[in-house]
This record gives sequence, C-alpha cells and structure tokens, in this order.
Amino acid sequence: MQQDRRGLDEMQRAYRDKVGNQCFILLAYLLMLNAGLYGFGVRWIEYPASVMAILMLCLWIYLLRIIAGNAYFPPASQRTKVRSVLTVVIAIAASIILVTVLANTGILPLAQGYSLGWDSALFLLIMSAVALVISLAALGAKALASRQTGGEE
Amino acid sequence: MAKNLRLKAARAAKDMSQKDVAEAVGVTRQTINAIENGDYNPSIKLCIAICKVLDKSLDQLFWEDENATG
Repeated sequence: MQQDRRGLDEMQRAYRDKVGNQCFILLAYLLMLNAGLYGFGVRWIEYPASVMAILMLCLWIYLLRIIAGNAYFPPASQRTKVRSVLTVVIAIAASIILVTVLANTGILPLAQGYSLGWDSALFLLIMSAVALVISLAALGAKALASRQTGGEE
Repeated sequence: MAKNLRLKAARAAKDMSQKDVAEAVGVTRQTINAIENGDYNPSIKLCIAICKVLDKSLDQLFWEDENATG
C-alpha cells in the first residue's frame, strides 16, 4: 500500500493545516489592529496598501514556515534540485530588493525626471514581484518533479 | 510520545535507511524520522504500509505494551 505520490503526505498536510490556521488567526488580529490604529489616526501606509501589506505578510509567513517545515513540496519531488531552485529564487528576490534600495538611496542613477519613493504602489510592486518569482519557481520545480516521477514509474 | 525503537530496529534489520522506507511507502524521510522519534502519530493506513515494507505486523511495530519502554 503506497501513499498518494502526487500529493503531500499526511504529516505534511497536517503541518500545513496547523500553519494555515495560525496564519489565519494572525491575519485576523493584524487586520483588527490596523483598523484600530486607523481609527486612532495612525496611518503607517495608506488604506488599501496597508491591508494588502498585511495579507502579503501573512502569506509570506505561511510560505516560509511550510518551506522550512518541509511541507511545500510533495514526497515525489524530494529528489529534485529543490535547493538549487530556492537558491535562485532567493538570489532574484534579494536582487530586486537591493536594486530598489540602491535606487531609492540615490546610489544607482535613475532616468531623468523619475523619482522613486516608498509609496504604496512601489511597496506593492516589490512584494508582488518577489511573490511572483517564488510562485513561478515553485511551479517550475513541481513540473520538473512530476516529469521525473513520470519517467521513473 | 515515546520513541519507536522497534521501528528503528526493524528497519535496521532489513538494512534499510529512513530514505529507503520513505520512498517505499511514499512519504518524506522527515515523516519516517518523526515517527521513529515519537514526534508524529501516523494514521493506520501509513502504519500498515510501513509494516508491509518491513515485513512486520502492527503489533510488532506499533502496539505499546504497558511494560515495554520503547
């Protein structure tokens, strides 16, 4: 009797459920805290961006915890070069952040008439870009894993 | 939860690594490690799969005797 090779094993599923529940509670508390701060006149980022930032933060915590807990990739993909893929993802994400910070501090030259600031749009752009890169890399790794599994069986 | 030393012994008797058992059963190596260390309580389906791979019965691997320490 073998477990389902296409999906996560039972311990991975249980860990994902646990982390997901914790992140959902964290999300609820942070949204309530944000609403409370907004009511007191504290605006750390403008309204739509603040909610998006909290959502992205919880998503990132969820992703990092399930990756660290070995619950991101199913057992069939354990033999793939997951470390290499994640290294590339981290390098790209770090590059995006580094370039943005350098451009913002004036070390990197910008096109004339263009100013870069820590406004809501830029903040969301960075978060989304990094999340997109991580998602694409994960999809690529999964596709690679399923191709290898298909070839072996 | 106590460590499952009988599982570890049965695996060693068949000269199998955690990775070998994990691949035969279809779970991650970390799951087998967690079961051996008593950090995870497996489902009956997974217990049966492990027993079949190691040619043991459920009693031999997973029944916790009151007098037994492991």
